[in-house]
Amino acid sequence: MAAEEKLYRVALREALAEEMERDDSVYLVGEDIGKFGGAYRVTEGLLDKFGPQRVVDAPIAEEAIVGTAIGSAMLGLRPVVELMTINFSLVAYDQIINNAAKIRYMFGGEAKVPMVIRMPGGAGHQLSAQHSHSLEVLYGLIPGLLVVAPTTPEDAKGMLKSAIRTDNPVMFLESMSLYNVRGMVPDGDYTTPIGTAAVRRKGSDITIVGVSRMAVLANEAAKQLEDEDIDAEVIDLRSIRPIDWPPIVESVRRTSRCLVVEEGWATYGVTAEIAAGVQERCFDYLDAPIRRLGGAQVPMPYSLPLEKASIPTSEDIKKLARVVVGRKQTDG
Amino acid sequence: MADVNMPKLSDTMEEGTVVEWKKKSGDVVKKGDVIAEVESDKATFDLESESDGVLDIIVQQGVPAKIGAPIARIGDANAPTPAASGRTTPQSGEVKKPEQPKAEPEEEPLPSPSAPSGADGAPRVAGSDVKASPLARRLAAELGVNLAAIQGSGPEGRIVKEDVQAAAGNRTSPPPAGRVPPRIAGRPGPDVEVVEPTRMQATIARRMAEAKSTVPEFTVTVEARVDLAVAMRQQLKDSVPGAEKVTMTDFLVRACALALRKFPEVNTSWVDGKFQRKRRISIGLAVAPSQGMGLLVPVVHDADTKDLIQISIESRQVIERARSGRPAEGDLSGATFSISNLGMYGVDEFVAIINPPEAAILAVGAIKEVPVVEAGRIVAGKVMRMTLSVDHRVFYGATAAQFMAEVKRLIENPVTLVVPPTP
Repeated sequence: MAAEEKLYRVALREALAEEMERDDSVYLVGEDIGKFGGAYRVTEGLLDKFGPQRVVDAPIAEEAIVGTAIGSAMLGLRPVVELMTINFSLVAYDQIINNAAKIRYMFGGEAKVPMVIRMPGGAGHQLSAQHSHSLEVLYGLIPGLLVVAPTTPEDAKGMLKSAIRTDNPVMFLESMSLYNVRGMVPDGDYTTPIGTAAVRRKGSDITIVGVSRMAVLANEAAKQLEDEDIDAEVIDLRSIRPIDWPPIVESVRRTSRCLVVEEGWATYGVTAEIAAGVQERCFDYLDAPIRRLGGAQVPMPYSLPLEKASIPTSEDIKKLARVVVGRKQTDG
Repeated sequence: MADVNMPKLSDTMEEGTVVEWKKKSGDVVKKGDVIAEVESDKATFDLESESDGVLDIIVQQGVPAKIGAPIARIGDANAPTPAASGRTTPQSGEVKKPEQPKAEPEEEPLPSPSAPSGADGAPRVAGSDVKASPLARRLAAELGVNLAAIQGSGPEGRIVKEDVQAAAGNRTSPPPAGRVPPRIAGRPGPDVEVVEPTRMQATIARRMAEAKSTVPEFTVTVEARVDLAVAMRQQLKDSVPGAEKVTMTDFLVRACALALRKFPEVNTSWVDGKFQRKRRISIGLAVAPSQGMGLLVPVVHDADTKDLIQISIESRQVIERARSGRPAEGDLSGATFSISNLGMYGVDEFVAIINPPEAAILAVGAIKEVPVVEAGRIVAGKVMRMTLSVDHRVFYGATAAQFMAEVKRLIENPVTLVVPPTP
């Protein structure tokens, strides 16, 4: 298939525009997404193209935005909400958890909520403690939600299309650090299924599972570990709920070792879930304890050096990978 | 207690063997004391203690251990000395493991390898308390291996898959019954003798097969007139202090270093689909070890910043250290280009195998006196043939030809080689 190199944000914009053209019931709602083009320029140009009925600039009231979207979804529309960042979704958490995730169950299937909430997360931009969250786990916890975190432009477009077309609410987690990433995007209409992980790199010594942007860093780390004769397999989790276990299990059974990495806090984190699931499925194949790597257990500092020290780096991944494969005795 | 781990002594080392323990279990050692002689794939090194205390040997002489695996411990001199092979010595009575805390504080560090194994610091007891990975336990059950008899090589002495496989492989199997093949009269012994390679030989076999199967190479050969170089070498030996032992290889190191500066694309590696341009120019010299069959590649680092005399002295030192089996750190790694000179054996020319990740190697033949045509007349001349093997992923025919033309020009005009290096 022909393909072209595109920015992550452009791939998202294309998915929105193509789905809006394909299906009249798809509409966008969010703060500053129309005239301003979106805080991260994802929706730029869409107001001109589709008009204010389908690209709705909303007041600064996340609970109202999400509530509106849920109601319209129940009545047959397909809203795609943009929350400026995942941090603001906390204001709408009740709507998401108590309504979006539950309505289809509570109405015995007679109502459904085909809604997508797009929102960037992650740290690294000196946005301090309240605006630097990686809250994958808050949504991954909730039955009734689908949660995805694509890391490449190709997946961003393909997964957003899948998210818009599914009849269930999807938390679509973007990352502020990935909007300017370039990558090949196939031409034409395609979808990337929700609930699938992607093996980014084959390897035989250790399986590194990365969540969101950490999958990108895990890939970098794996490349560098080659020089040390450590052959790492990298799996981009991509779908946080549901988790695609078969490739992870197949990989760990082959490598006998596993390291899981996320940007958020690892205690009770996505990495905890993966580590537990791997242990249940691969116990007799493990040659070393599964290890987890996450961000420092602090509210994100504003100070740039402290912020850097709080976010896992590819060096941190390499260090822990060496421990897991037994090249290094301790974490020190 | 501090672990003494198998050190990583070279880029290619995967495991090492203690050739000789210089101290016994129970001996008091001081930081800096040589406690063992360790053999890697390339050479033998002295292993020094990094702390003061009482030595407890874990891995016996002659048993290979993976790099990073604990081979001994250095304990507190005041504490009671553990038995020599304490960790697997069966003891009567039960040793209780410390109780697991009900809830772990979030930041509790993982147990460190130096943590005592029992509540009273008693050595770990074999059997039910053996530390083995789940995979190792499953394999041990399948292969009928007794875990208690194995020494773990993983972190904290954990028995891992490879330990079990090694133990299963080591069990002596009964000789197969059946007929004995007839022997040819007058020639005792089997037709084929199976010889274990040394670690160095095994590494060479692996690396060369890897190079030949992954590097698309081509070769370029030039013949250089070396009358002037031969004469200059004699002059240097006769009249310049420090240059008494200058060799044609030293000339070539200097010439290649200069040419590599001019053609940085040659001083480059192909790694993971990208070019890695090397800022330093360090030249490896393929030499035979002083005894046994093998190959060593000691390195003259930053050869482009050193003059011919420095190169001559340094290459001699580094070759001697490598041949003695006691190289200094960095002596055997970091080359960006290599030279293999078989001229002293009288070969006309040959093709050398590239040593990845280097992109090229120069194979040098003998200097020969031949009739050459000079201004329409046949005269006696000295020539030397050089063949460059090239990784075609890194650079191409035209560059290879220009690089060799430059090496040839420098060797044919050896005054260029005694000009002091520019920074």
